[in-house]
Amino acid sequence: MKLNRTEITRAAEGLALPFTICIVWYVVTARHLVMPDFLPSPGDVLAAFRELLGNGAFAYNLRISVLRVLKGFLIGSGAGYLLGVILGMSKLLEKMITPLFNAVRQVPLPAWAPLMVLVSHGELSQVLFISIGASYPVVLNTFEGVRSVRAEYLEVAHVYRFDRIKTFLRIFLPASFPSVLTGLRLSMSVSWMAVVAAEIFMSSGGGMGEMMWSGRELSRMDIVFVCIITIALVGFSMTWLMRKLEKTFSFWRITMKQSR
Amino acid sequence: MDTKGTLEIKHVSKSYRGRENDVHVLDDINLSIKSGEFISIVGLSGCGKTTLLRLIVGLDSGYGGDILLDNRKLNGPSIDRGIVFQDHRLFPWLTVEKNVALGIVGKSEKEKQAIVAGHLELVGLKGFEKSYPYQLSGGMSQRAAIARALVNQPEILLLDEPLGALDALTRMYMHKELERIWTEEKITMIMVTHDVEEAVYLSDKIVVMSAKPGRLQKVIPVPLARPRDRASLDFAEMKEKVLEEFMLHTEHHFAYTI
Repeated sequence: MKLNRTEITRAAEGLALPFTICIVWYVVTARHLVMPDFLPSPGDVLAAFRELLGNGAFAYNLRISVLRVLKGFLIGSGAGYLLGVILGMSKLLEKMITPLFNAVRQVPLPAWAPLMVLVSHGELSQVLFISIGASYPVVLNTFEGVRSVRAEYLEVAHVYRFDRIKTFLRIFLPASFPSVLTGLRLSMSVSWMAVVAAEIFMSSGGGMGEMMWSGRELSRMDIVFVCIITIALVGFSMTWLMRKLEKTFSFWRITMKQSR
Repeated sequence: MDTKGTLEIKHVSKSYRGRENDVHVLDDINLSIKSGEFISIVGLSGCGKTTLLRLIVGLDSGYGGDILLDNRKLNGPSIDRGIVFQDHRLFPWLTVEKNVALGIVGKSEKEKQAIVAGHLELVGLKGFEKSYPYQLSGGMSQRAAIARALVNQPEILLLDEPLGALDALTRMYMHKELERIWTEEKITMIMVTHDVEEAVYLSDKIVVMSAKPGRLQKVIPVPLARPRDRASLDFAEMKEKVLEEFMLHTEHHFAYTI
């Protein structure tokens, strides 16, 4: 991929603030304006990062978290997609299920943590926890995408006598795809947030969240900082990737808007 | 004589259930269309011309009277009738080629390819197979829509203001194209329009409808030779004749010209 001028400018604009923060951070810690127990210096954090890389803890925990997120994301968004399609295609089921869905959705994600213990004490409960959070955006966006399919296209399907399956595959599926991708992107970022919470609430079997929490217990703020920065960067990259995918697959929607 | 594409409309009426009382859209429409004829239905907005077309294609149902295609009563949409809508309704996520192939029923992949290629050639879109609808102009999109409507070799092609969204010059060009396609395909075409000149240029017969409720006001045969010359006196007189039905004609006073 070749970067063009505007992309470089945009990257520079986006990096200006983090860079400034780093400088302020460095100055504040170098002059001992804050107690090092609370705020480690960039040098300390870098050293901790090297240490964690050296003993393999970083790679180990990152791998566990990423795999866990992917599992939770796949299960949650898969189930969310199915539910979204069902609600979108059937007015009756929408009326029956939506009120319950909307009520359940009001429960903040961390409130599910105690209940997850009922399921298991390990991996499964964490994955399930993530998938709950991951499902909502996909349900909502898939529903929206299916519902906003233009009636004119369905008339074309009627004229050519598509059956239900063909109508779904040829119209609902592609027409709702950009919207579904938006849901998947949001879902991905929720999943990544949820994995950290899951690993803190239901700590077992490692992960970034657990490493961060144990860093706190050991009063190793440098480790906590390594974790926070890693979580932020990984989450950012995942969302960025999803946004790229979204653009690739919805080329016709974007250009259609422009031509109107 | 070939009777394929013969349409009999007998005492057709249609009303929609309104909030207070039923809205009468079509009232006792009687019309018979011969095989291979080009018919235009002209009328003001709300005269039910589009409804009539939708009944013929089978998108609307629940009407009084009978519509017979080749002496068989219509029952829902079928591949023996193709339709071109005012908005092209191509699927934006498919290429032109795939859009046109969409409607083909019961053919092998290889046959499909040949049919698509043939029809894209017919409508003058050769070379645009891989283009997406957003890359096409309005006229080209409508050509693709015509190709899509023709792939199953329908007996009747229904056109619902197919050129209404195009600019005046493109529209005149498309008239020629439509006439050519009609001559090559030798099928019955029924076009709804509110462009009187378009109707005179293309039609064998012009059906004038009046509104509220939609009634058949007059059927005007157009006995002009093809290809028609828009600038000719006959053409102008024909146009006047149709416009008279709408009280839109101009009075010509007696005058000498040297």
